[in-house]
Amino acid sequence: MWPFIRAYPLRYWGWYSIGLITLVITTVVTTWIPLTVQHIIDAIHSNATWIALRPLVLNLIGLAILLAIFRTLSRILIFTPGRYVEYDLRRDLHAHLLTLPPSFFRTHTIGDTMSRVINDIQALRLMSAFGLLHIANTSLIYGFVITQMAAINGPLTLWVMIPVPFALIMIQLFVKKLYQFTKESQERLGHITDFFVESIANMSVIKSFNAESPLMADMAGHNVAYRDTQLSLARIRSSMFPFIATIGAFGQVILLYKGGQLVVSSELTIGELVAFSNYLVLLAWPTAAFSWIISIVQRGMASLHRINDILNTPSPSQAPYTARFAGNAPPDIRLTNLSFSYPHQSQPALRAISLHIQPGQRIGIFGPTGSGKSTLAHLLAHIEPAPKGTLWFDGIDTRDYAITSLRQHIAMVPQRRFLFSTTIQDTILFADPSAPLSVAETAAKKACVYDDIMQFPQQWGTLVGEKGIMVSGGQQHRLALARAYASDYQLLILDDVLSSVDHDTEARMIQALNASATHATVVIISHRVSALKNCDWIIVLDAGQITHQGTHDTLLASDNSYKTTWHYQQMETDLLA
Amino acid sequence: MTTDQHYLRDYMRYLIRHKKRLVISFVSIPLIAGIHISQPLLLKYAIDHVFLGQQYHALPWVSSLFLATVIIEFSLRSFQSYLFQYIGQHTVTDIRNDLFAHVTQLPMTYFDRTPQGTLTARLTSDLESLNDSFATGVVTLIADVITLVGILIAMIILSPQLTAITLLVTPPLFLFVNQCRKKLRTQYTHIRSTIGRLNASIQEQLEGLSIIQQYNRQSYNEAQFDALNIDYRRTTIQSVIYDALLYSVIESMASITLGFVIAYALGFHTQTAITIGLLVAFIDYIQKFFQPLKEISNKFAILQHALASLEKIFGLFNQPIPPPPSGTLSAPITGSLAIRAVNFHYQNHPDKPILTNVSFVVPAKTTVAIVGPTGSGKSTIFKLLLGLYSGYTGTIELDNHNLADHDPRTIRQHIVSVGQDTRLFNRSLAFNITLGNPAITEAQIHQAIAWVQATDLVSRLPEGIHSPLNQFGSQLSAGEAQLIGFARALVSPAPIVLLDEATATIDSLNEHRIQTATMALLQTKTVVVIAHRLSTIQHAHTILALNNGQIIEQGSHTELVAANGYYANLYRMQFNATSHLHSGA
Repeated sequence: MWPFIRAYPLRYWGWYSIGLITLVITTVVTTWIPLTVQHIIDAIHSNATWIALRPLVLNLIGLAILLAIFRTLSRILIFTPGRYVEYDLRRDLHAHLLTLPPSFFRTHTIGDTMSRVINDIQALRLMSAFGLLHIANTSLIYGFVITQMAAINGPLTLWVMIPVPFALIMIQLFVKKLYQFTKESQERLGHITDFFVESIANMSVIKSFNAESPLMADMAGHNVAYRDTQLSLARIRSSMFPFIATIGAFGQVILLYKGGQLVVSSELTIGELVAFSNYLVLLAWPTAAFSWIISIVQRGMASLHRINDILNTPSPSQAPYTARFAGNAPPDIRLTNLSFSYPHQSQPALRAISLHIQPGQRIGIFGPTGSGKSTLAHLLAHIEPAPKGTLWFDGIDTRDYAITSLRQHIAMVPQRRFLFSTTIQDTILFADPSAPLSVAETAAKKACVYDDIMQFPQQWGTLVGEKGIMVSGGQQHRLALARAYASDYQLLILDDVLSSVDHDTEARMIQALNASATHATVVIISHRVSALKNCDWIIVLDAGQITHQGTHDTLLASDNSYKTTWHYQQMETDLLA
Repeated sequence: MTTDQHYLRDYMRYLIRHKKRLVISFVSIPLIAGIHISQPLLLKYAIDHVFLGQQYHALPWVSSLFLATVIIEFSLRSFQSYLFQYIGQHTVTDIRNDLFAHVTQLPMTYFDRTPQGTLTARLTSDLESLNDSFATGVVTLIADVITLVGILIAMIILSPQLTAITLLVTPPLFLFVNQCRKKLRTQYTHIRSTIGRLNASIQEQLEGLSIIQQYNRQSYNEAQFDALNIDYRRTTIQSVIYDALLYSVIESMASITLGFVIAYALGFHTQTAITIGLLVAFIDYIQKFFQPLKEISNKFAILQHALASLEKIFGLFNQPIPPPPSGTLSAPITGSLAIRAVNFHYQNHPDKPILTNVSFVVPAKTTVAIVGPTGSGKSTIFKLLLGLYSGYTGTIELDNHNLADHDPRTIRQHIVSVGQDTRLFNRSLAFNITLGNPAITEAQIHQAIAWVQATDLVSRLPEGIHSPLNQFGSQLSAGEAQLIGFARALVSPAPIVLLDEATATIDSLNEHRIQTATMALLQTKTVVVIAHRLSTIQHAHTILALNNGQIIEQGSHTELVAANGYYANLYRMQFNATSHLHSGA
């Protein structure tokens, strides 16, 4: 909790301290007003004239205006930094999320993460605005009232305060459960968010397979689980909060009995008894607000826990580094005995991969579905961090590089294409939005998507991504390729990009790739022999291991899956003849 | 205000479901208030009779009575608070269920124009905000209004004259409150929309995170997000100002009015008409009058927030669902398809026709292949067959039943599809194949997995078909995901199968094994297949070549090669590519 307060609310100590001063003034003015009214009543009682009363009445109105001004100021001054805290935290959380490795998203779903960025941050904002306001307000009023009461009669003050420790014990008893259920309910809300994210993204599949009702049943399950946790919370709240709210009344009971005895024994005047009673009434609202504070703080703590879970996940880009990749020439890449496993998988995705990729080489990676090709691509592209001492660029362990300096010079076209909802122009110029349109044109031509773009009515302004209904799957693939071409790379990785197009387009795409003037290193992943045959070196992967490697010709000279596939793909065409 | 009333009425329909509990809760409001008010009366009685009247023996008795009222008040409050939370939670749960049911029925065109994150916000944070305000606001608001009316009546009885003076301040106060309300309302509506956009932005950026990282676009995307975040901060801070003003002005109004009443009574009026006793009592009432008003103003802000949420939620409910046609399919469906003179363009894109005068027939249990460049409209034909989009001209028939006359859900019982890329659910592998259909047995799941040659894949997973899959953690490769999508279609008994590049990401040897394994099954079905690799369509009875949304060629492989047109060219291209390899060897 303290690190959070120090990092966020405390940044606005200026706001808070001025806010606190205005709050003290507000409290003082609030207590002056009844006093002034008392004076006015006393004056009327002693038959004072209007002339004598006028300054008192003006005084009252003046105080009221003063109260309005300071009340407004105190609320603005204390609530505004709450909003700043919310903003700062959301900004930092978002910025941090953007640097996290894929391993984070293997244990956290997108829906739940969204729920943290939106809902949990709001809980923290409430804590740093309302929470602080009420804490300050309650302590001020309690301090003021107890001092006044103790001045009248010390022992009686202790007597009427007896319910307070009981309330504290009660709170202590329930607070753990309150925290536990609050946290559980935040998590369940996360599940619900996740359910919606997934269902809405898959809506066309759900519709196509008439899966609406099973999903709705699922949804109802999540919904009821969330509701039940909320109702458990409600049960705690509805026994604890009214109890706290009636503390004042319990005080009154004690006052009546104990204070009454004091009055009987003439140790207390009736006037003092009435004063005590009035002070207890004054405590009623801040005491009730106390339960609010507990609820807000518990929610804030539960949310802080969920947010820290993200913020405390180290991001590879923050890792200390000793080298920066200059990027003025293609790297000399070495993989030494590289093995890689995903969590909860019985077998490693890659085993003992050793490979040397010389600068400017064209490397082909061949292998069946699920053989580890994409994993290797992700490691080479530094999306997935490679284990220490296994991947070397220019003789330096890539773990020692500033990761962004590497990524800056690597372009990868993933197998799962993803386009952001924006225009085609912004999509292609993703790496450098300030680049001229001519860069996009060149890249689009090279990716064989230029003609497609031109035939859209809006051309470069055509929307892609979520709202890109006009753009077909194949066109999206080539736009993703154009996006890579438009960036400044020394290493280009194409993960199964060439296989999802017809032979004519594939041939043109390979030709365009070969024709380009760049001497960057290129890694082509494919299960199509035709996409790989021109590579300088081809490795064959199976079950995460390199089983064979060589050039197209040498691979055809021995028995391996590359050769079998080549023969098969050959035969396919013959079958049609 | 009329639309607000409309939304409130919609909301009331949900509240009414808990009629009994609502009635009990509302009855308990004056009960609690009564007990609460009786406590000072008991205190007054103690002072006047026990102390001043010196009846000390009554002290324990009065104290016990006081204690009893405190305990009863606590129990009643506890009970009432739980009831209201119960109603609030149940209402929100019901609305969420109904809203999701509504969303699933919306046409695809709605999803095409609405960011996913915004929809998620409607179903989560808007409903949460509604819930928060119900629990804290609405309930006590009613109690406050009742108290206010009671006090007003008492004031009028006491002195209509002074009440009139008191009420003089209300018109300007009302104007002020109304002004604040309007401002707050606009701001809260804006806040709800911004939350929706923040959601959409986060969702998209997280889904495309590896792309952002690959292109080092973090700072650019941070700036993009920051613009929304700043917008949100600016509006919320503005709302803080109006919120604070509303609260403070009403709070101070009590004392100001008090000043006016005293000035009127003493300064401009002869003292004879108003007794001191009356004035003292009135002063007390004025303070009591503004107390609930202050509470109301406080909750007014919360209520505005709730209304802004209601507007978003019921606004989504108001998205029309096209009424499904009520035609009935006469069983059994053999699975023949006829597409006649279909023209189609996407909504709001009339300048880009996707399909132009497309006609073809697929007899039952035959295979038709569609070839053509990307973007020629191949996948769109599937979307129309599945009833995902309407608004085409011409007719599509399933066994002589016009698709347009039937509920798409009935049609979809007879058609399954495998898409270009399969997005998986974060659930078990089994769920991803059955999509929750309880009629599909485990044996059938295993059979389908065997058909798509994924038995090895399943054996690698720690819990077999019950292993949870992680959609974004790329636990499965795109090719493996596609295998699961394929299995999903194969477990269905539907007579028509649509394959949209269903094996594009699967290696040739596996693809061949799948073809062999599923051949017998697919021969009993009507199959429409989209492919760019001609090998995958070798069993097709008819081949259609589509270009720019038009069928340019139609016939068998031999016929089309003989016709020496687009298809023959495509075929030669592929043949040359491979024979070139041959000679290279």
